[in-house]
Amino acid sequence: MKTVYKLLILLLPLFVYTSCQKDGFTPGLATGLWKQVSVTEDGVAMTLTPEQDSCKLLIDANGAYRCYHQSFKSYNNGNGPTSFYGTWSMLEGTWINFTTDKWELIAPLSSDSDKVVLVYKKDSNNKSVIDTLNSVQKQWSQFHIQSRFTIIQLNGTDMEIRLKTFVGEKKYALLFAPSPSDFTELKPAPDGKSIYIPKLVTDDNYWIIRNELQTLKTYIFKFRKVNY
Amino acid sequence: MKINHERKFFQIFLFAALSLLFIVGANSCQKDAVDPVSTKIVGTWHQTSKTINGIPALKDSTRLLIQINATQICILCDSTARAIKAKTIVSRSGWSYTGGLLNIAIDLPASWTPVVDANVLSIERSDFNQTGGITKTTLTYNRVANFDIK
Repeated sequence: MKTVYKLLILLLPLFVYTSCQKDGFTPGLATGLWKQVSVTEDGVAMTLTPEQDSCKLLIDANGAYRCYHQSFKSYNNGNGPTSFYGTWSMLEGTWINFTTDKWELIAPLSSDSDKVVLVYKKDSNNKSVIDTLNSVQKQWSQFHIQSRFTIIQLNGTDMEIRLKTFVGEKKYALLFAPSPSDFTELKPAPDGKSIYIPKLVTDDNYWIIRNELQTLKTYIFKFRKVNY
Repeated sequence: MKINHERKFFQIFLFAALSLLFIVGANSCQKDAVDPVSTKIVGTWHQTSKTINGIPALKDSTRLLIQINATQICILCDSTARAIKAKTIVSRSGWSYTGGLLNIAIDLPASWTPVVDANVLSIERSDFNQTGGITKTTLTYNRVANFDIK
């Protein structure tokens, strides 16, 4: 019996010492400047365009982060936006949340033919052509989402985070640098709106995009810490 | 007799252990004390210099004077010609100090890293430039007497 008491006495300091220790990763490890080094889709390395390859994250301790990429740099005659921002937080030392812009497909279909409804205009030759600016704004609705990534690795040099999401959600959200081919420039930019928006939806790609928005894949983003 | 002695010992031990656990539990997870920087930066500050990546630059006229109030409101005095013409010299913004960063609401998502002593306040922010590099802007202020800004 005495042995049990002794054991209890010995275990008490250990219990007290460990009771307030947090498991997992700490938010302090995530702050700093990170350069994206790779993105995989279901374990296969994605081919990134040079615009996507330039992606960097500047994560501040106050819960805000900024993202740099050149996906829209060619817009506005080469003066397009390159810096984007959102908020971040860490949950239970296991997950990291980032808020980003996202677009939802709201492209209407005509009720009689199931064809994508487009807006047309007359060109200089009085020919009827698709009015891309007006059409695309009726096809996509911008809002914000919070994406929860599982932290695979986070230390002083590397950050590896995993997200299971729909292919379309990855493509048509700023996670983190989208492919320039999936977006188009709003020219002239409407007042108070972004200069960029997902590409025009037509009969040719409507079902492809719908399918992308229903296909789940796992993405792993790898970043390397940069001193600045 | 021996069993009674052990039982009594166990009761005393249990009582002591529970008391200790209660005291430790109540105190061990307390939050850290308030960072003194958040109180030191309160005051009225006059800009004396600006540097970009360590190189002296023209002062930032949009905030030549900053008054940081304890009420989490900060008053910025903009002396640019545009502000004078539009009569918008004085602007107000919320501020907070979290994670070692000074957050001025109108500057978010950028925040400032403050270094402060009794009479000098230096704040530095980092921003992406067009090529993806980091530009560091540092503003230095001297403390001046507090006065009402209206």
